[in-house]
Amino acid sequence: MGKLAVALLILLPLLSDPGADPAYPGPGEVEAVLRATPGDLPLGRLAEIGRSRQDRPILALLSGLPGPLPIEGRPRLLVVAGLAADHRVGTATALALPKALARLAAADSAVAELLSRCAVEIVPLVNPDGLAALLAGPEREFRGNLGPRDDDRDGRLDEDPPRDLDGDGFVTWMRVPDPAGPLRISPEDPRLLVPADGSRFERGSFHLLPEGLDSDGDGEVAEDGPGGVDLDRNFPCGGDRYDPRRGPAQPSEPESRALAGHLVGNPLIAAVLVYGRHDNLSGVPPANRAQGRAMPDGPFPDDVPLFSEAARRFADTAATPGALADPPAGAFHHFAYFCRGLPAFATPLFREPPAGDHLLPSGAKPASADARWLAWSDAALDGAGFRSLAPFDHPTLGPVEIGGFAPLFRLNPPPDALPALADAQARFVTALLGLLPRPSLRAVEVRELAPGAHEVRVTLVNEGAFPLATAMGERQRTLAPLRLSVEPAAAVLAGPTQALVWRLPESARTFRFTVAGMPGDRLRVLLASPRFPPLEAEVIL
Amino acid sequence: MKRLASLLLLLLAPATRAAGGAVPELRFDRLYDGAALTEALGALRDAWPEGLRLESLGKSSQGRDLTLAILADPAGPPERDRPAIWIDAAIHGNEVQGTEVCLYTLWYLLENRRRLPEIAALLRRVTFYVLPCVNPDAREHWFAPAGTPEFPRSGLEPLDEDHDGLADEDGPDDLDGDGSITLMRKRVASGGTHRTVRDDPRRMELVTSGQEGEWIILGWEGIDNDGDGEVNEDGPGGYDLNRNFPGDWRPEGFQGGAGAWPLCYPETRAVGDFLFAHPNIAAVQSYHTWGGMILRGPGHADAEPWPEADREVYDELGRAGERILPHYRYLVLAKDLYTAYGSLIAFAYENLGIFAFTNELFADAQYDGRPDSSDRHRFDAEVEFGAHFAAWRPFSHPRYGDIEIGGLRKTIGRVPPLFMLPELCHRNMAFTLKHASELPELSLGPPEVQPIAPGLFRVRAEVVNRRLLPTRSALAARHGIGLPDFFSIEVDGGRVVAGGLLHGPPMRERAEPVAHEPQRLRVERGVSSRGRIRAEWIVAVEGATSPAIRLRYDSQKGGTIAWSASERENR
Repeated sequence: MGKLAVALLILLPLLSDPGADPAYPGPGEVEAVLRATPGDLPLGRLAEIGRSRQDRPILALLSGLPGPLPIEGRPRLLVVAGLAADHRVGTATALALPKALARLAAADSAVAELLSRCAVEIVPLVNPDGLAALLAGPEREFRGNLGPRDDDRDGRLDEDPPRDLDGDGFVTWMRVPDPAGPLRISPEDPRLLVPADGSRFERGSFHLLPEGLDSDGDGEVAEDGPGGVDLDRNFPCGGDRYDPRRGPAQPSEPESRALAGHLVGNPLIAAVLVYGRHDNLSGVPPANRAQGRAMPDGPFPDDVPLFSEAARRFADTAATPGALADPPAGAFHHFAYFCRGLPAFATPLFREPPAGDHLLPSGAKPASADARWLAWSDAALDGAGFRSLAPFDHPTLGPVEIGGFAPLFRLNPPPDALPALADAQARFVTALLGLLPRPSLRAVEVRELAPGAHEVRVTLVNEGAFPLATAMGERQRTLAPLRLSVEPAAAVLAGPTQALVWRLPESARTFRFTVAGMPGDRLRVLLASPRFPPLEAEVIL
Repeated sequence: MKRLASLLLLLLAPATRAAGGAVPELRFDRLYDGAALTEALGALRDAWPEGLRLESLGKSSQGRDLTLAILADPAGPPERDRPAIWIDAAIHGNEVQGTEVCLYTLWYLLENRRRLPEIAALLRRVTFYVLPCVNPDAREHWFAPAGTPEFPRSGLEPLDEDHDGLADEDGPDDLDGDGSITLMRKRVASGGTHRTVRDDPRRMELVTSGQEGEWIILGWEGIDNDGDGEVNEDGPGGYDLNRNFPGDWRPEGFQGGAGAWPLCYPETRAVGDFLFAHPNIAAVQSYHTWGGMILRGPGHADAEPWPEADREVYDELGRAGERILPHYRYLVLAKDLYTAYGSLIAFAYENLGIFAFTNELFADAQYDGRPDSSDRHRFDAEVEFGAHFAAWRPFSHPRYGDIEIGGLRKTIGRVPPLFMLPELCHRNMAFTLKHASELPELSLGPPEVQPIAPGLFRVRAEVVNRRLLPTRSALAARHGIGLPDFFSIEVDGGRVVAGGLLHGPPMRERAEPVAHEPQRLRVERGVSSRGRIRAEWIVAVEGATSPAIRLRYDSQKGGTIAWSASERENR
């Protein structure tokens, strides 16, 4: 991707007008915002990490505050959003993050110090084609990119898509009367359906179908729409390889390969945060139970404290209501941890209606999740979250009712909630930056062993909270070790000329080199790794 | 009628087709480096440009073409509309002679396409996709500058194996400049691990407890190029292309050499993309070395059990392979050899529904034709007159001081004696052609048409597969891999009222009418090994005494076959 990279360095004033961002930008707006103002933090570097199937750029913005190191040489947190086309809150929040970080840094010197030695890299829209397709038609649930997928395996592509039959601008659901159907009217609200419980002698009277026709005459309704592969299932590691939503192989899509390549090709990425449908921050993922060479089904036990600490910081700074929801299904953050060994986290940002005493029209307090969404829509959003059910004469199904929750309502909060989300995420992002490993050289000691021979003792300290590498990273050997060495190497009398440090789970470790030299001679102790800024200390024998 | 037409076609073929050049006389008691391979492939293409096409699938890490030969008689159906076999070799650069087997296969098919009816028929029915060298960078490195029997196996994208910040900076070196990386040994006064064999000074043997050794083996020729105290610890590449395929891929910590993600290397990406884009490929044959093995997957013990119907297909081919290839054994990778995630053959079968084998070319037992004949030194001396032995010579090593360099060269061990190479090529090709000949071959006979009411007819038709391979593997059917087969009917001036596949024993079979699209029946399980499927339709044609119908069977891996009342035969 380096050849394609377009880099800009633009100085911008702190605290740009937060109102300047469109609330939910489309792909063109995302690109325009990134290219016009590559950073709301003073240092911004924009790069194209790849191109989508329809040749749209996938952009990454690296930002931070001025500091001793150029921004390209600093450890960074990679924030990824917009893998799913309809998860617009992720893109909006990621795009707002530089401004929110700038506000936080202006108010908090500790944050400013963090942002002067670390960087935050945002990839706000991995799936621009999917978002463009979503915006080009009626509102509908749509995660995928535009990779061809013959969903019903009939040899014809995209011939039976969901449709906005009633022309209201939304693709919702069709409530089909069916005496043998599995659903019945909810006792909480007649707009909702709930499963009929046969064990309680309840009888169903409906089934639900997506709004659409049987365009290909196969008896199925709206079963083969355009696209696509769910990019947040299109990474290797875990999950059902035969799930067609994952694509023909993982990673198969240009977007996911670009993102994987960016991660692999940038060793300074020290941790990953993904805004999407998954969540490993609302609790602590259970530790791995798999044995031998089977793919782990959870973090290695030695890494659980790391995930636990991140979850604690998340709860302190940006908690999102909801429970852990992290199925191993080829998500990007799983690739980052299970295949690359990086600390990797995911949050949906928004998953439950805001707390409040919203009541149903009946005056009852909602009990089910659907009823809570409905009550919130009615009370706080003037019903905008639910499309009223309306009769429709379907050409093959007969009389049905069309309506239901607005497709993006439960995934993306109202625009006025976005600034607070970005501020909360800025707090969490800075909390994560503060946890990143931070090696330093301390206590270089010299002891004369004999005339012309000395022992040099160097203590390597990790000033960060996370270890230098996860246990998974150590197992994978994907995270380059730190190389501690003495220069000139010819001075080393015995033993290897350099020490490799993979993980350093303890906070400090002392290394010894036996070197040749006379009192007063000067040597250098070097700490090198593609993952951290280089360090050196002078030794005087 | 069909056979007669085929025979006429065969007899007329040489006269009616463009002649091309003469099939070149290639030797197969030699190895072909990259330039020689390119020249030989070009000569073969020139001999029959209508039937043999060369394409580049892409470039290797170092920019070499991945040259694919596509061989199919244009007298048959379009190459992508008929069953195909994929044949590849040298995905491991040091496993060189699979390339010669590929080249021999192409040569043999061209040489005999007019002489042997069986070959002519195969070329009309089957497409051959042959990639003689998946990993041209490493195979070329093996020839020059130098290789060992084991090196270089990897692709040659630089990799920092010793994590010192430098990539590929300390590989083996051909210190004595003889084109082969052989061993280094140092004579020691005490503590030696080996001693010279009393009656054969070329060889060493391990000393046992209480014996005094005179040599320490220092490994392959090389120096400490990067000054880190290690020798040969970071050579070219350092990964395994045959652990880089999707499906059961595991990351590096669970499968050494796996690469950053499946198909992350240009060579594997090219192969994977081609296989995805060619669903007509129903068979895969990969050539490796060595050990005399005909291997199938799965690659690991925790894989999903393979369906019995598919195992029976594999077993029959495997048993045929054991007959065709003396001293070769038909084995299951995970059970009989080792665990390997991300291999091409597991990907081909488990992800794409393709029956796939790896042949490990050449067995030690072939040296003398006996199971216990594995003494390469003796064989080299008695049969090959020392061709593969580099005499021990003194060398002043910058790290080890005075040492000796010598021993068996790269050309023995994995590579067979070259006088045996033609037989190796032919027998392995014969196994692969057996596999190719068992690709599905479908026929669709005239339907039975029975009037059941004025203007209403019952139509029954049958598709027969006379070959071993089914049109869809049972695993593909289980997981919905690829498209199902489709059995279709069209009625001139009429309509299809109902239809379904017939199930049950003859005379008692019953139709299972489908609710929708009766004119195009989905056949998820395809036509089984040497099996048949039957279908029944009820068609209505107002005022007709006999319906004019057309039948068609579409199978990604079995090809397309059609019948119509006007043609009254298959086409």
